[in-house]
Parts: sequence; structure tokens; C-alpha cells
Amino acid sequence: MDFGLNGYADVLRRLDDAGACRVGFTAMTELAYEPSGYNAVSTYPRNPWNLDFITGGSSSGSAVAVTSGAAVIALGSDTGGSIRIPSHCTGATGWKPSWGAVSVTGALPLAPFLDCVGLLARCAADLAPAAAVLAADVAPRRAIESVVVMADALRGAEPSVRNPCQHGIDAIQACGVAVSHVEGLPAMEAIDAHAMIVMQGEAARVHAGRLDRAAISPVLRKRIAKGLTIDDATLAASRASRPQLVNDFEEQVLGNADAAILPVMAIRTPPLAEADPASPTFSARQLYELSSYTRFVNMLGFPAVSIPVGFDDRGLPVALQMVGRTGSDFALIALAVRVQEKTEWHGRIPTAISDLLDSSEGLLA
Amino acid sequence: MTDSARFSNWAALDKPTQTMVAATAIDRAHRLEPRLRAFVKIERTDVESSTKNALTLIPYAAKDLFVAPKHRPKVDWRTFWILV
Repeated sequence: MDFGLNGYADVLRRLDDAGACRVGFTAMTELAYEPSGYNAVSTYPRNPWNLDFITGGSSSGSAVAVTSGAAVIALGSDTGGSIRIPSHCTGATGWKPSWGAVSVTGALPLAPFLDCVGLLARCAADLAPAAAVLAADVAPRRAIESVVVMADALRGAEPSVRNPCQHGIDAIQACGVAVSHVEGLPAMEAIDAHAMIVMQGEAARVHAGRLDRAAISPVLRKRIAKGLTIDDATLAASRASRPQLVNDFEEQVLGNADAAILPVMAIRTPPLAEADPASPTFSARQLYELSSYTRFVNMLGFPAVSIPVGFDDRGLPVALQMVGRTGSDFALIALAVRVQEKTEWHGRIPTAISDLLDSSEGLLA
Repeated sequence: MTDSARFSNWAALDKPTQTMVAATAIDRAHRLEPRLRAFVKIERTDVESSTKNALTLIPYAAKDLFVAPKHRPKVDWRTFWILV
């Protein structure tokens, strides 16, 4: 395998050639294989809304960089939700591209069949021009005119996640978009079963050589080892199922709609202690729940844009994701811009860092 | 700072303000870092050399997942390189 890891990542070259100024490289979770943002072997970012809560991961530092004002846009990657989950937890706007729309050459892989390189920003209007630079070969599509809400996914979310999401849906409808509802969880869970096989199987094969490295945490080592129990035929069968899964999702969920709508996460952003395996309050089940609504999108290869839609009962951001058909990236981003022109959930100053921002630097409205 | 204070959209800023935001980005990142630990490396941005292109001056960060001249991700790179 040649991932082009010996030179200059395509996405960095494109941003640099377009005149962007790199502030730095951001922290992430071990091998980008952890949805909470916690890192057992290194320092890890803190949530700018409340330092005691997770940032989400694996693009944890990128989310914190944009929502704190250190950067305007940030590159991340998304294999099972790694852009959308930290966007939810920190109040960022995130774009997970159609699979293959943005080059991954020069990026450390996790599961190549699912990996996408994308962007985070404080708002879609800031994200849009950079997305156009990174996905220059994606043809523009017609605007999003209709969406379908995955009603059972919305009902399954905790109340203080569900209520802001409903406000976000109302805002989408106020943009003139037709909104209908469908039961989508059975289709999502059928896709998710294959997503787990591909993610675990490919990650294990890519990183098997690290199993004996002391620098890898025991929890991650166990996850990688689990993937090695998936045989080649099973892995190949799950990869080959993508076209059928896309057909099924389009028939059973999307119908005639342009995009599906559901929360990024069904649960509130958890406290840090619940993501630390050494803590008595650690919850492995909760870690699984963090990405339960995001992984299926990677298996389909579809694009998604996540937008902040309010705050939970602990004052932490909540996000909604809009999932479109392959190639509808710019239409999704354009809808996010329209929604954010009418709403004020994005761009708020995070409470845990407001004392560190200087109004004379031109960043604040 | 008031509760109603907000970040500006980059696209809505005039050029002098964009230049100011870009020029102060590194200082801001350093100021935030002890509390947030978002970065593994903060670089020196050369705002003056930013050319007139689609993303002129826009301060960006990159997940420590990408290779660049003079940069390799913090992971145990030599092991990974042998593997692939």
C-alpha cells in the first residue's frame, strides 16, 4: 500500500497554494480510533464550553482550534464520525465529504474504505470556499429542496438533545425546505453492522504491526486485536455490500428527498471521566453510543454536514447532521449556510475561554 | 465580554480585519493552549507571503494526521512507514 506518506499531503498543498496560513497541527486520539477525544498515551484537548467534558474525537484538536478562535477552518478526518462528533461536542460546523471526493494522499489511514478528509469551521460560510478548494472535482448539484427526518432516531435521542434538534429541523423548514418523516433506524442498523466489520477489520490490518508497541494503550490494542478475528472473506463481503446498502437506504429512507436529517449523537456530551478507562465512572457502552448515529454514513460513502442547533441542559452544544447522496456535498453546505443566516447557534463564544479572547484582534462581532 | 458577543464570520470581515485576525492567530493559539491543549505544534505563520487566492490569509489548523515538509505526525512514524 502506498498512502503517499513521504511528502506533502494533497490537502495541505491545496490549502497552502490557495493562500491559507497554517497555524499548526492539532491533537487527535490514538490512531484516530477513539470517538471521545480522550487519549490515554498523550495530552488531549479540553472542551472550550466546559473543561470537564469531552471534546469528541478523533478530530478533537481541530474542533477546539476553530471553536476557540485559534483558527478559522481546520482539517480533520472522519472514518465513523470523527468530524461530526467533535463538531457536536464543541459547537463547530463539520463537513464529512463523499467518500473519494477529497484526496487522502499523505494522511495516516485508519480504514481506507471509510476514511474521508474533511473540514471543521465555526460556520458553513467559512467552510464553503475551502471545501471548494479541496473537492474541486465535485460537480455542483441542485439545491436541497426536501429532507426526510429519521423520526425514530430523533425519538431515541435524550430529551435535551432531541429538543435542540427539533429547533434545527424547524429552522431548515423555515428556509423553504420540505420536511417529511420516516422510520430509519432499522436501515441504519443494518448498514452499521457492515460499518463495524469494515472499520475493525481494516483498522486491524493497517495497524497490526503496532500491537506489540508499548506506546499503544491496552484498550486500543484490544480493539485492534479484535479486528484481526474478522476473516478476509467476511471483510470483503461487507465491502462489496456498499452498492446494495446504498440502494436500500435510498429506497427505505431517502425516497424522493434530497437528504436525511438526524442528530449527530443520541446522548449528551459526556463528562471526561466517563471516557477515561481508569475512571470508576468509565462507560464502554457510552463510547459506542457516541458514534452509533454516524458510522453508517461512512459505510454508504455519503456526504454529511453537521450544524450546531442549540445547547443541552448542561450548557454544551448539540448538533444535527444532514446526510445527502454521493456528490451532494456543496448542496448540503449551501443549505447549512442558509440555515445559519437565519439562526444564531453558531459562532457563540465558548464559556470556558471567553476571558482569553481579545476584542482588539478583529475576531469578534 | 458580554453574553451576546460572537465570533465574526471570516467572509464578512474586510481585508484589514482579516489581516489582523491572521496576524494575531499564532498569539491567540499560544494564549489558549495552556487551557485547551488543542495543538501538538504551533507554527510561525508568514502572513505577508499569503498570495491573492481563494483562501488568502485564512488561518487554518490541520489534524496531526498529515505529512508536510518538515512535519511528520506525532505517531510512531517509523513503525508505520515500515508497515505500509
